[in-house]
Amino acid sequence: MIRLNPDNTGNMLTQLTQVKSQEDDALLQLSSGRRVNKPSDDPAASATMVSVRARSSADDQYLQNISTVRATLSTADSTLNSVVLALQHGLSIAVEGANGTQSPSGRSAMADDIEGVRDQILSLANTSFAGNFLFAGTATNTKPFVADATSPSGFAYAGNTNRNSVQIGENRSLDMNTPGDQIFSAPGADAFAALTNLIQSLRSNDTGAIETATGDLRAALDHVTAARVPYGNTLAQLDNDESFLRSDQLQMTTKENGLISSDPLAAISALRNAQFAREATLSAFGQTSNLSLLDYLK
Amino acid sequence: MSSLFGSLSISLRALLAQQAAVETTTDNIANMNTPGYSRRRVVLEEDEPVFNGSYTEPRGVHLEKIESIRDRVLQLRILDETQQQSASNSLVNAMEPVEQYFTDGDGAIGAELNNFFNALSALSPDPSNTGLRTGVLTAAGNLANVVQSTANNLVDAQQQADRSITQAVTQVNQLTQQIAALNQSISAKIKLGQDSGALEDQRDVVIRQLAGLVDVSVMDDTEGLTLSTSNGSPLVVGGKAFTLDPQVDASGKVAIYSQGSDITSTLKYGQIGGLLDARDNHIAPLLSQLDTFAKSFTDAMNTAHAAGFDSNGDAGGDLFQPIAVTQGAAASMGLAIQDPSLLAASSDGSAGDSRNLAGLIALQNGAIIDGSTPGNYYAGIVFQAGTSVANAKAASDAGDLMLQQLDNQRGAISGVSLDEETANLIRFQRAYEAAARVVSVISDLTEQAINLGRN
Repeated sequence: MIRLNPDNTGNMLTQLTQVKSQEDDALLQLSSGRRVNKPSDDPAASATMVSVRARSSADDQYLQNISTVRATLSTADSTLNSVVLALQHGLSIAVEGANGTQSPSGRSAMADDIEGVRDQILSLANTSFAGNFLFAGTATNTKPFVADATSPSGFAYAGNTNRNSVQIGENRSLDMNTPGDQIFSAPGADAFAALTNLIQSLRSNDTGAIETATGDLRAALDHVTAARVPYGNTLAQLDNDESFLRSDQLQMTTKENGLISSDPLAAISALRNAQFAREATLSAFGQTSNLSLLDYLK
Repeated sequence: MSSLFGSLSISLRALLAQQAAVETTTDNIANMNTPGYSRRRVVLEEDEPVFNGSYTEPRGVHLEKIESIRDRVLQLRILDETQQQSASNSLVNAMEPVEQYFTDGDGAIGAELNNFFNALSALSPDPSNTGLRTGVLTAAGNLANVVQSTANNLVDAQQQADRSITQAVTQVNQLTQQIAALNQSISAKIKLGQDSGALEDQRDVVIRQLAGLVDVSVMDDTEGLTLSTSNGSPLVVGGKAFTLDPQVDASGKVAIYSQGSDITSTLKYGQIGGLLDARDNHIAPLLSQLDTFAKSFTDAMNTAHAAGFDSNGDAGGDLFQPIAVTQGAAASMGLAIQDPSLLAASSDGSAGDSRNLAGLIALQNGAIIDGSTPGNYYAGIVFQAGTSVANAKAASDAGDLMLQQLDNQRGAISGVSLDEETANLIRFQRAYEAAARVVSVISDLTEQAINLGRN
């Protein structure tokens, strides 16, 4: 017969320690809601979590960037809309001024109106948002259009010709701006030159020159209208980008749950099992440990 | 020719023998909870009969010896397992605080890395915004701080291990002294032919304590036990103990010397082995990876930063304090600029340009640290810290069970069973009573013999 270890306290203690640590694990999972509370709980999941967290926090930031970009682009877009309306107004005056029945005094009054239009467009072209000029290229702290007597149009462009691009996704960036000279004073479609020429020809009562200036103004209107299109397109695109980022965030949350969240049902049942095993071990120990042959002698 | 006095003599010897057996049983019961106690057993032997012509005269019984029941080989396996178990346990204890530094959450390196890149990203739609520029510098400073403090914490953990190692070596030296003294007493007893069981039990306990601290291999020879570390450096030879000597080496770490030579790298087991393992094979690689992270990240960021222009239109300088060598890089990571206008966000020198920021942001997905992105490289560090603890825990749990198993085996061989001892007690008691009865019978018989012929 094999002799057994007469002292079973060691076994009991080892089992109790094991069951107690299972119980603690289950409790921690329940209270923290996480299966992985430190890297050693699941080293691979912890490592994957680093990139999941990086991506979901970048998504948050891209969404904030989108709202900043959207505010800037909307302001630029609505500014250009006002420019278009002002140019249309100017064009209707010009068409009227080209009419042969107009008197010189009538044309002079029209010239005053066009001056008003030109001032309005100048102020629109110098619009700033959050302290940054919208149409100065990347020289956002420089007022882009200033009066300049040496220029034929009477105005000079002081901004630069650069575009700033902003990242709004891991592999997606977009242009924040179109430099002002490409909108307002492009060759062949220079709004300021057309308006200045129109004012001069109305004052000088030169029908031929009025007609030329009117043609130029129409070209400038078409150009600004066309320049507005990318802003509108980008704004529409931002909505898509935003919904992509939101669904990506959702995916990251799902992935995070799969990687580190605890299953409450599994945790509760593990806790119950551990508690039951501990009670069973304790009660078995309590009942058996005191018996020996001595109890049956005399 | 048999005689009454011959029978009396047999009975007396029987009384003595049974008395010794009762005493041994009592001793077993008394020591049933004494750590390391191996149960004793009396060995009774029939006395050699006297041959008297054709008649063989019996001489009864005598106590041959009292022996301890122990299994030397099992004892050695227990020592081996104790060393490994203790190494795993102290590795777990040393690494558990360390892995906390790599737990994900606010204020850890992973979170600060994300915050930094997000701050750069936030600045890109509005690069002249001073508040956002300050935000970038704050985030960069936080990242540098957490890398620095994590590195300092790792160094602290190594120093903590060194302090524990020094303490453990002191304990080793005390224990080897005790073992040497016990060796002397045991061999003296053996020479006198006396039972050395009690001393051997004591020595087993002390050797097991020693195995909890350091590699021990045991050789039995005529002069007593010889204990050495796994590479053969002597700890105890017979009655002489050899001390281990902790010395601080050039790198500021504790090295362990035996007989003038450095045996640090050969110590694998026991608390000392586990702590050395934690210090040199687990914490040190984490620290050196953190150094690589800090050095490569700083270099890449500074290069990208210098490609742009600050708010004043001047070429960008360093964003982080330049780091000359990789060793110790993490502990020296810091911010180079405090003035937000010196942040080189622009690539054309104008205020509204943030394309240089795009260059900095791109480094988040650039293979800039040993062929990995900063995030993935850091994830590798997290994985390693987690794996160190997880593996050590698994080894420690398995070792617990194995050690318990071996203790059970030892108990099965050497442990005192109260049932068995009680049964023996009854057996020896009966034999004693019977022998005593025989003495009284012989007393009656001799009385009758003396009174023969008186009537």
